[in-house]
Amino acid sequence: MSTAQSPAAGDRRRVVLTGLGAITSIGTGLEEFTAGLRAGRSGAAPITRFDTTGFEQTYACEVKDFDAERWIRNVPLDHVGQAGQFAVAAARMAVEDAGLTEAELGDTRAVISIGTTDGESHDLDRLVAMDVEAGDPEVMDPVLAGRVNAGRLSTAVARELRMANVEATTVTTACAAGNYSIGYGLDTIRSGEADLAICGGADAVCRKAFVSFYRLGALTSEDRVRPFDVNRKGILTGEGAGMLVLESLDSALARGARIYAEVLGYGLSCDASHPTAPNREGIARGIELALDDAGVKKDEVDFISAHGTGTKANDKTESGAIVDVYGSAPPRTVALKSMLGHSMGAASALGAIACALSIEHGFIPPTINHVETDPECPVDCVPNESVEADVRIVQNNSSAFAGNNAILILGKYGERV
Amino acid sequence: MSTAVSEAVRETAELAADQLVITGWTAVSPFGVDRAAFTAGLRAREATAAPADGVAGALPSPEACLVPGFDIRELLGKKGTAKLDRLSALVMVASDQLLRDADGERAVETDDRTGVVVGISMGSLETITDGMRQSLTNARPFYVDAGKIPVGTLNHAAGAAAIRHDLKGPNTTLGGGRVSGLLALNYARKLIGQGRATKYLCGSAEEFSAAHAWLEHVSVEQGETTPLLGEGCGLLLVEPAGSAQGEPVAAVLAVESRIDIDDDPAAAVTACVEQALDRAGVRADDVWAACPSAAPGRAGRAESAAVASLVPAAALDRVPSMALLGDTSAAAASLQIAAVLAVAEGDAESAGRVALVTAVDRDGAVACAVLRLLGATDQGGAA
Repeated sequence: MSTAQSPAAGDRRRVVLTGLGAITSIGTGLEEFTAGLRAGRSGAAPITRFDTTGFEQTYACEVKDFDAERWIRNVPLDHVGQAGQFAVAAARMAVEDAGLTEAELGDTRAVISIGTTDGESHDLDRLVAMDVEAGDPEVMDPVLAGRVNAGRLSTAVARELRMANVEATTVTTACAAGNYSIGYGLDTIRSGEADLAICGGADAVCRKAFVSFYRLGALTSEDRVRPFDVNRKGILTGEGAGMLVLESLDSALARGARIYAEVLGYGLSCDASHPTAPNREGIARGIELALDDAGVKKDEVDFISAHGTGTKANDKTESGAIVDVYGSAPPRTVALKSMLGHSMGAASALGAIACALSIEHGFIPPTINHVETDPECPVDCVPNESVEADVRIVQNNSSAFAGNNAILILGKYGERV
Repeated sequence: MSTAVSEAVRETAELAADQLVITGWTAVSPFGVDRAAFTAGLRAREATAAPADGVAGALPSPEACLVPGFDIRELLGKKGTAKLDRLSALVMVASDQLLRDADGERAVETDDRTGVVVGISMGSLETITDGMRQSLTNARPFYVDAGKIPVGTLNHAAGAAAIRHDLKGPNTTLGGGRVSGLLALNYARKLIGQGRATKYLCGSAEEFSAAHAWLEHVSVEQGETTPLLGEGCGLLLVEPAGSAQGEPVAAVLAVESRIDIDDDPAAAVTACVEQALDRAGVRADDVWAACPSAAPGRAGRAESAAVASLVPAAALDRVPSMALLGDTSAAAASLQIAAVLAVAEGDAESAGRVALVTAVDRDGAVACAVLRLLGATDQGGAA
């Protein structure tokens, strides 16, 4: 793929990660999330968010210890639903981690971009239930009805952080939305139009997503997810939020910020072929575009954080695309969804955070619940145990229904001049 | 071309190679299913509210501004449309109009670097809530219509347009309600600027449904009345002037957005417009046509007042009020841009002039775009 129109890599503004916020089913906060990744924790547990009567499968990866009031100070808690609370709290966590105060954020020009698959669909589920129960839509709760649009995820973050001079955009490109959002922050800072972007993704476990994947036969019948395993049976739905502070290198250096990693580039490709089936060519093209944008050679990639949902179709197709790009000995390829389930719009944002943490702490997280690698998935998935490694460059994959692929490349800051 | 557009021709010649320009547009709207109907209805200032008789389910109020004659199978064919939602169909019909000529042949070159970005509110609320209802009322909770599940994904419309026209570049859906059309335009501008796409189909859309109407009805602010709802899709073709294949009808000088964090939408709109004019390098007095969203409620009134206090009075009347179309929600901002372009094409005086489009959303976002009109007229305009 030619990127002849791109500004030459050497002339571009460099962009780094200076703050991270993670709310996940294996731990909230960076310390807990890092420990969970290293230990290979599973977030799976019986569903509490909604009534599972009538379903044979009753597991999901819910966030268990979320205390909204600890993080959310300025917007009323009922201004947003569960997904919005995750997003706002993770954003607060990320700016605090970056050492940015509200006073410093102030009127700073910035982008806030947040990816989501279902937004506040849990509220929609509840609204429809009210209507069905009463047989009258007039009884629907006005507070819930007024907050269902996806746009609120990002405007609520701006309100919470008291940032008026921002472009707040919610990317609703389903399960690739987290990487899309980070890419938009990268492009904005590269363009010179802002020095700061607060990006990521958020979703909440909801009946809608659960029923959809159940009906499509994509939900596992087990209490665990086994990506790349010959006996993998599908996904568990999950939830959480991952938010990242992206900053121009100049800005980060000027204020002496800690730098987790450099955002080297990303790639977007559209399969334009099928509304739900993954596409080997489309994923491979996305990877090539990302490597090209990042100026990274294939042998420089230390590991790949795969989309790795644990469905038959995804893992086989994605492995095939990775082999198409990298040849028969690709970088180690791990599936965080073995631990986190499929946290939808949050998935690739949490993936990006895990990649940054792996660079910071020098380890590769495992693919848990792994017994026997499927010959159709010829990758080293780092089964069950994390490994210590000097991680310099990482690729973070994501794909979505509607044929959308978004691939992000992060690198250790200071390794590349 | 008449002599009146000579200034615009000069403006076109002076466009920098990387200046983003609009080289095509269409609108599927309550005025009618295509661009010609939109232009005619707009110029005649027709009201579009009518009894929403064909809509499935009881409604909180009897009237709506629907796209007349929007028969999905007739417009898109029988193949693959049995489960299609109205939102995706609106986007697909608009994309057909933008990319094909009257004979249905491809009229615009596209490739694997042609992007699609579509602004929405919450996707096809009818599809999503129907599935939820089935789960609660059918014999088993997973007895839902499987064919509707992909359609209920928020990014289905953008993906469906890409599949229909084999568009393999960046494909993105943005949730932002009434400002989403402007967020989409800014997204396309930035990604083209970074070399990720060579051209973009860029717009926003909303479908009318009972589900949407009830959610709006029960959440209406105290003291306000239930809004008259509309629907539609505005879609633009945008590309850099230097490589544009179509005739530019307008240059995108600036797109800006802000968040109203203090419940003062007028102040947010004022700041946003001033920032955009500044970035565009034009003065408020230069604005020849201004088109606010005419959103119902407090934010919409504040927006109109703020715009009126900034631009010359004559600029406010050139584009008929968007209230004619009802509250078209996510479709609004793209239809506003279409309205500005439709008016400009009928007025040779528009050549070289500045237009301002503003929008506010109830979730707190405000946005605006500053365009320079390039003098394409009904006689000489791009398809």
